[in-house]
Amino acid sequence: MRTRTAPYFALLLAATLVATACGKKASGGTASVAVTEIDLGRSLKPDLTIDDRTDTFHPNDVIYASVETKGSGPATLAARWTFDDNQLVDETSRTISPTGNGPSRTEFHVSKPGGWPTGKYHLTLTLNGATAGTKDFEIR
Amino acid sequence: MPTPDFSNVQSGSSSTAPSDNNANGSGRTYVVVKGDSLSAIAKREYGDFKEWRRIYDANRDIIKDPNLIYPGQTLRLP
Repeated sequence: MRTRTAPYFALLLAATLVATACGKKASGGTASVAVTEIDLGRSLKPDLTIDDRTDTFHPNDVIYASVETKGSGPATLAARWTFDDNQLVDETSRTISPTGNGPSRTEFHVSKPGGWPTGKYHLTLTLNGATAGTKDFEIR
Repeated sequence: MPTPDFSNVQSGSSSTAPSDNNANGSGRTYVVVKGDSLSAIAKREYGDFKEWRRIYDANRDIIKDPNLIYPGQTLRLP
């Protein structure tokens, strides 16, 4: 019995992986742009890379997320910032159309006049609606 | 403990890649970083610091005084 079920499950697993891959391509819209790096920090360089990476911020900081993508074609990046128990802080999206295959940088930033409440925050970055990466950070 | 109020959060984005977000001008944007001035941005973007007024004119809605720009501001580059 065991020898018969093993090939069956292997086949089922392969079919599931193929279906999942196809689903991602369909929901992603454009498969030629990929997120390769996400960094957080307090300031940016002119090329939009982070000047001082950190995951701990002060209440009056501007929080920057710098996202590296590779590939070409239109793609929509969105940054969803949440606080503590998933309370929405901000959501910003940007449609980019990189032309070469080299890396591109897109930054998202948030600030709060009067200062951020201390606590734990979370950034979810999506590419064409699919989660491309997450980052946790803290305001102290 | 009361739920924090995030209604006054300011946000923005910019990219080195061409974008569809700005129908105005070149579509490029620039995020001000510490130490920037309009003339420094103009020198870097256009090769001539005297071009600062083009940037100022394209961003009059958010720049009240051309001598005062702030880190985090997203400027349109005409």
